[in-house]
Order: sequence, then structure tokens, then C-alpha cells
Amino acid sequence: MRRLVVFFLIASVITMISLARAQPPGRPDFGQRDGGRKPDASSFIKRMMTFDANKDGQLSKAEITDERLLPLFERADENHDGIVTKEELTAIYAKELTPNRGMFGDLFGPGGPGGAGGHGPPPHGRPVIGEVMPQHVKDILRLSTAQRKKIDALQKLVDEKLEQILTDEQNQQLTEMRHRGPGGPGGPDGEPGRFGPPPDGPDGKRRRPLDDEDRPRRPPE
Amino acid sequence: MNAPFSALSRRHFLKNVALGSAFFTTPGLFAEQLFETPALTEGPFYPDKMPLDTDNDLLIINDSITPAIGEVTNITGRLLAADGSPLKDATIEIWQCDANAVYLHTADSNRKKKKQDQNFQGFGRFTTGSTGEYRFRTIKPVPYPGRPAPHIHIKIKKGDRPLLTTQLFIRGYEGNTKDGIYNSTRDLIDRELLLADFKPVKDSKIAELAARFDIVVGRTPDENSFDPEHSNRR
Repeated sequence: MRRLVVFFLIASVITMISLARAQPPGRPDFGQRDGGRKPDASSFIKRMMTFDANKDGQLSKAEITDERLLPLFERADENHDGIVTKEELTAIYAKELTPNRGMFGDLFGPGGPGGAGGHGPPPHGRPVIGEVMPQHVKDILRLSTAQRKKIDALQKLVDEKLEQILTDEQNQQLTEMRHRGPGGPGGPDGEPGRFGPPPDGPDGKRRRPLDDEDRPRRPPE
Repeated sequence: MNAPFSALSRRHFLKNVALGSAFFTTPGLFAEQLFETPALTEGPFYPDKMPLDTDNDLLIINDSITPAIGEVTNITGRLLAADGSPLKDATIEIWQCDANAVYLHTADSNRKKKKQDQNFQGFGRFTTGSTGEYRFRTIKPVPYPGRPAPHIHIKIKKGDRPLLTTQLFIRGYEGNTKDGIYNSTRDLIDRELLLADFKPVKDSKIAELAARFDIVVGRTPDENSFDPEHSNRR
């Protein structure tokens, strides 16, 4: 009888561990985002394996319940047997992500270009010069709508001031750096104009009348 | 068997029954969960002045007879919660540059007035019904200087509350992998969730394209219950 009790105790511990470890695809690896761990093939495989309903360590097409990932499944299924193994997932990860230095090479290499004020490389996306707080950081911090609005307002202020401080030429250079990276090819991180409106923009000094041929674009709201 | 021991084993038995039932009812363990569509930056060109027409047909402004330049594309999809249930009464906003790479934003259009396609609406809205389906008629996105990946900006709102801001990309477009925003996605899964196939519509006389893009929105931190029916799930 005592053995039975011990068995139940062990069983309940195992149950609790499996509960704690189980992670539905709907909210994948928050820990990873929060902890800022380096994304690699294993975290990708782990996310994909949340679909492994029968726990056989591989994926069948029927197990991919999120149909948006079927194209990825089909690309991964190199031998077209309808089964994707961990090896095939590793292979597609290497094929589609590794050659792209924009993804990780820039992010985790030492002294990545344009490190935002020495905060170190982020786990997610290249730092944007002059950006107060990147989107993923806002997400991690779970900012409220009100806080996001305040950050947006702060960003606008920073953009405007920055543009005033720099000369036209410097502004131009900065824009180029944002697109190419200061020291070589890197991925561009946004559209030009990110650092605020041009002189004839809505908040600029040389405001020009907008409404000549400016078709139905007056503020209706 | 003595009495105290028997009571102990009963307690453990009950505890295990309780744990066992928790295992089988914990949502998401076996339920068909969907990955959330990743958030991406809004960028600088959310319209600063709304067009007079903000409907879901970006090709025609009001009752103009001249359509916008570009490859006509029908974008359809569903707006879903992570458990697959449709999100109704949510507003989807899209905006993108015109075929000449000019955004409907004075910071962009003022300096490119001559290039701007005056017939492109540049921005549109759609409010979902009970099925969560949405539909837009627009142009196939084109690259923008500094953004080699053509994209459509998307913002989902419930009332005034933003639920998700992201961007939609063209699957297989060669500029994608040179694009900083596209490359900022975490892994292959997140990339996949931002891609749509732009396929020719069969028998279309004007060579229309169709793109299907389902959007899965998670619960945002600042809300209490946007979907009371499923609030027990997340």
C-alpha cells in the first residue's frame, strides 16, 4: 500500500512537470523571448514539435493544425514522404536562415553595427538608430496602450530634435546608414523618413500649402 | 490496514484524481492552437491625413472612374483568436505605398507629388462580422526605397484599442531576404506567418491576383476580455 502511495506521489510530480512543460503553439516560448536566448534551429524545432500530437518525434501533415504553416511543412519535407523529421527541420532552417547574415550574423556578432547606445545586441531585430524602444521590447514589457502612446509621443519628439541637431547632410547619412548599416551590408530596418518629417513635412518649418492638386486628402476625421 | 494509513492513501488518491482531471482539461494541451501572427513595426507612414474614402477598395476613391495603377489584388482572410475562433467587430486597417512607391503620408507624398498615383486610396478599413472574414481590393505591393520586400502594413483594432500591428509580405519574393524588417522576425515560423501567395485569379480578364492571409491575434496585455466566450482559454 505504501508503495502505491509513493507511486501516486511520483505520478503526480511527473504530471505536474509535464503540465509545466507543455506549451500550446498559440503562445509559443514566451520564456525564450523574455530570456533573450539566442534563436537557433533547436528553438525552431521545439516550436514546430508543439504540433507533434502523437509524440513520435516527427510531424505528419495531418498534425499541422495551423494551415498557414503547411507551405513550410511542404518545403521541409524534402523526400516528399508526408513526414517531416527533426533532421529535415534542421536542414530547412540551415537552408533558409543561416546564409542570411542579416538575421543572426548582425544580431549576435560582437560589436554589431549601430548598437543602440551600448545596450548590447537585442535578441530580436537590429537596433534602429534613434529608436526609443523597439517593438519587441514593448511586447516583452507588456506596455499598456497608454504607455505605448506616450512612447510614440516621445519617439516623435526624439525624431524631431534629432533632425534639428543634425545637418541636412548628416540626416541624409543617417538615413543611408539605417538602410545599409554603417560598416557594410546589413538589412535596412525601415522606411526613409523614420527620423521625422522632411522640412516640408507636417511639423516642419517650411510648410507649404498642401491643397493645390492635393485631391481628397483633407482630414475627415 | 490501520485507519490513519487508509486516510492518507485516500487523500493521495483524491489528489491524483484532481491532478488527472486537470491534465485532461488544461486548455491548449491537445486543442488545436494557432500561432499568433507576429507583430512588426508600424513604420513612419500610417496616414497623417485620412483619405475621404477609407473603404476596403483601395483601387477606387469614392466614385472616381479611374482606378489606381498596379496589379489588382484581392486580399481575403480571417481574423482569428489563437484557439481558432473568429474575431468579430474588429477593424482591420491596411496601408501601403502606391505603384510608384509613394505613401499616403505628407512626409512622403509632399516630396514626391509628381510621382504619386492620385487614384490610389493608399489606406483602407474593414470591420469583421461573425465569421471573422475580411476582404480588400488593392494593388500588389511594390518595393520601397530601403525596403526591398514589398509589403502591406496591417493594423488590427477593437474599438480604439490596437490589438496587432504587422506587415504582410509576398511569398517567394526575392527582395524579402534583403529586407531588414522581414529579417527581424524571430525564426522560420514567424516569417511563414507573414507571407501570402499572390496567385492569378482563374479566368480574370484583368489579370487579377488573389492572396489569402489569415491573421491570428493573441490577447493583448492591457485588456481584460475582448472575447468573453473564450476568455477562459488564455
